[in-house]
Amino acid sequence: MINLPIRIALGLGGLMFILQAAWMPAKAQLGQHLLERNWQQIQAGNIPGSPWPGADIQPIAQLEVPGLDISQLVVNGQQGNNLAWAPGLVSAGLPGKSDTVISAHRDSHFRFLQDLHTGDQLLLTTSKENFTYKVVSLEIIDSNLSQLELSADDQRLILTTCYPFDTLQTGGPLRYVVTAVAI
Amino acid sequence: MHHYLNTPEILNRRLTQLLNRHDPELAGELRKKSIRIKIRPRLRWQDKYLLVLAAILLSLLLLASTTAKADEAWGMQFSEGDQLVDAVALSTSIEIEVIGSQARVEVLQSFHNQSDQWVEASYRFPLPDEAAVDQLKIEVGGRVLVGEIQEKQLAEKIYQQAKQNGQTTSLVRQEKDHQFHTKLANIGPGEVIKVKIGFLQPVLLADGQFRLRLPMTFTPSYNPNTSVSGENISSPHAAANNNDAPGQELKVSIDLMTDFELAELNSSYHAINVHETRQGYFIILENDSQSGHLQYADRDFELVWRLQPQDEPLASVLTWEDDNGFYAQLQLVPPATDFLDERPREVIFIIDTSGSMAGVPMHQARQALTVGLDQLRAEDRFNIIRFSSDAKSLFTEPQTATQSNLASARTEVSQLDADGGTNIQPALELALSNVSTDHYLQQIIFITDGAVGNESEIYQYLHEQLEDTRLFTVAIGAAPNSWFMRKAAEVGRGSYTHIGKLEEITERMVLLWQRISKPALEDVCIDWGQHAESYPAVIPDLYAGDSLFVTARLNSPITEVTVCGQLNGQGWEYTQPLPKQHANADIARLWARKKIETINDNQLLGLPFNEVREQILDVALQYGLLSRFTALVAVDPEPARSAAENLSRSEVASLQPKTMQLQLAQGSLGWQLQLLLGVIALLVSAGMFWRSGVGKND
Repeated sequence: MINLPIRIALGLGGLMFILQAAWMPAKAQLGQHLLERNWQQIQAGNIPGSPWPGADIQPIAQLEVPGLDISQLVVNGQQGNNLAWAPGLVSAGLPGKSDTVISAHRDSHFRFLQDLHTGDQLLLTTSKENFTYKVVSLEIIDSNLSQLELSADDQRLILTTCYPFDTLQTGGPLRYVVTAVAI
Repeated sequence: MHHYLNTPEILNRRLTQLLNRHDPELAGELRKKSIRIKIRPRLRWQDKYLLVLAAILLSLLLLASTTAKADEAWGMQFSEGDQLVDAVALSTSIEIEVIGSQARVEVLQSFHNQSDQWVEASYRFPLPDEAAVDQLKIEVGGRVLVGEIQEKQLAEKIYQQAKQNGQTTSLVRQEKDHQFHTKLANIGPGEVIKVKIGFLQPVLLADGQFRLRLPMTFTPSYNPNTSVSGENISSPHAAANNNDAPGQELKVSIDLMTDFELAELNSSYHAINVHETRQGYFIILENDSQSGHLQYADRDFELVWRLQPQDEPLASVLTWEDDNGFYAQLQLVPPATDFLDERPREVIFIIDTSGSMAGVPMHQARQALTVGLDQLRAEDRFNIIRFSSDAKSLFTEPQTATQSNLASARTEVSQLDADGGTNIQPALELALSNVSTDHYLQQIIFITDGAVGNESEIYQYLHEQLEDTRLFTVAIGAAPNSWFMRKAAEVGRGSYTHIGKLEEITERMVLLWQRISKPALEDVCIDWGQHAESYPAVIPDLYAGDSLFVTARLNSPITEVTVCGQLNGQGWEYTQPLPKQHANADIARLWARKKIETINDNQLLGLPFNEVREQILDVALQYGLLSRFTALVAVDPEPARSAAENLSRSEVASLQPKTMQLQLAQGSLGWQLQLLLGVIALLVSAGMFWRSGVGKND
């Protein structure tokens, strides 16, 4: 009664969108899984190959939150497509040397940021050392108005993601920033 | 009666029945005028809502999928946080060297990071067909990155290593979509970044006219006489940048290296200045600093030239010499058509009527053949061979193109139908047994989609059996087997024509006909005076309005080259002294490109993959060429840290100043919204299916 092509187009379009949408969280899971092997090699002191064909990322640290049972591999850089696979560490800072910034998407890896409280412990493991941090502040900032102030003399761990956590809209200006200090 | 109203089909049928029974005269009248009774139900309110909802959702889906791939701007863009800002170009200069069949294009652009932020730069450049960037140099803040051709996996490794070391680096792969794209991190506030890319692009030649076309859309389209355009207002940086625009410059220069005198040298869309030099012509874009704006950037740059007509074939040679040998590119040009005799021809059309041609391709092939028949002159002879599983010829031997013979050929052609397998060899055998040995030009015109299984076998057969017969292949359809068709024409010293669309048939066939009706030099031979590795291996004939290019590598320098052939059926010979000055290293690269092409072809003729890879790598690395197995990688030679520290991969050096501000990355993927849209669309669609089901059942 209503045009068959419209019905079919709508059905197929919907299906395609669902598949596309489902691929993103799947990618986030898969990325972690694929990086795991490379991480083990790095910890063993070897230089591994590409984690998957065409990938230009490598795991460089492991982020753990004992209280929330979270363990994630962090990759170098945070170009848009990197973050789809794993949280990304900004090349500016290195753990133990300066402020370290790790970002990830609020609707995949860094969803757990909403469950963090001040005083929570964060662990960061690089190929050489372990670092322990304590969360000291949770804030929401507008990325249009302010930016992260980093200092090479501090050794903080800063986790950032988009805010609010449960909105369907993407590309908003607000960011959720968790700051932790080394202990 | 209730159920009739719900199902219009039954209602329509019932009404027709009633009409037939009660007023057969009216029913008959309606039938005669093909007027049919048709009642369509009014949509009920649920369906109306569903339809409106469906329309909204469809447009939302479309919108969402198109906005996913925006930011396709040319030139340089700086990303500041999740915003992309067009970088302002300070200057753009394009230097072109035309070396026979190819042009070396170098584009130098400089950009200014006017913000007070550290940014990542993304550079995008539109490439002409068949061009790939093989030279890259980026200068930023005193750092220089120079591109080098490396084996692909090694290039990848170098890139990874450099990235870990905190060095600035860039990897260029061969890109599909006719564009060059590279990214560069860590551009400091106020820094100027200079990008230089170089590529080879073919010069087009049609009907005696050489044409070089370069896209200019990447250049800044700034015009001080107009106010800031609407799209820039949203970006405060771009708007501010425009105030500095008088500093922008666009320079284009072309070095046209040729011995030939030109009858015509024009730029299609831009004003140019031409200077004669010792090696040819030097052309620059007319200085528009007086008018003060770049009115040219919105259209392609196109240079066309035509050689002075001659009374016999002429040759010109460009050379290069380095440690690897002596290289030469020979260009042979035909005399003016007035000096060429029209000679009677014997044309054998072979037409593919196999099952793969069914439908549109068969229609196109019939049309192409008909156009071909129209071009025959009364003194020509012709025959038509159709093949599928078997091969059959129209006449037992070629016939003169009389009106009656052409008429029966046309009738036959109009009845051709596609069916059966593709067995090419019997058709070729028939065609070659068909040819007579007198003074006619022997040409086979082979119309097919090229869907053959035994390509290399057929290729071998042609190689051995063709002798003096020339083979011209005409490919039909959207995706013919063009490799085979091109190779077959090459070994047959003919040419390859592709007809993709129905509208192109007449134009392309007439063009092919004009091209092949006057051979300017047949049986071309080139004597380099010593052993030479030259390409193409089989030298084609030279036709009016065309040019012939042969590249060779020799072990030691030579001073002259001799060209011979048949001119108007008579023996012809000509010795060309070589120029005293060498052209440039691209002559060697052109030769190497031809060699790589030949190795690629050999793979399709049975050379094992490992050997193909090894041979291509050898050539590509030695001559610095992009290929299937090599990539261009650029690394900042200045390591950011000491070598000892380089070993640890987890340490990423800082190129950043001591304190810095960091733009925050985009923080969400947005898959939930997409999922929601998808589910709603699916539900609405299901609802619509359900509504239509209800309509039929109750």
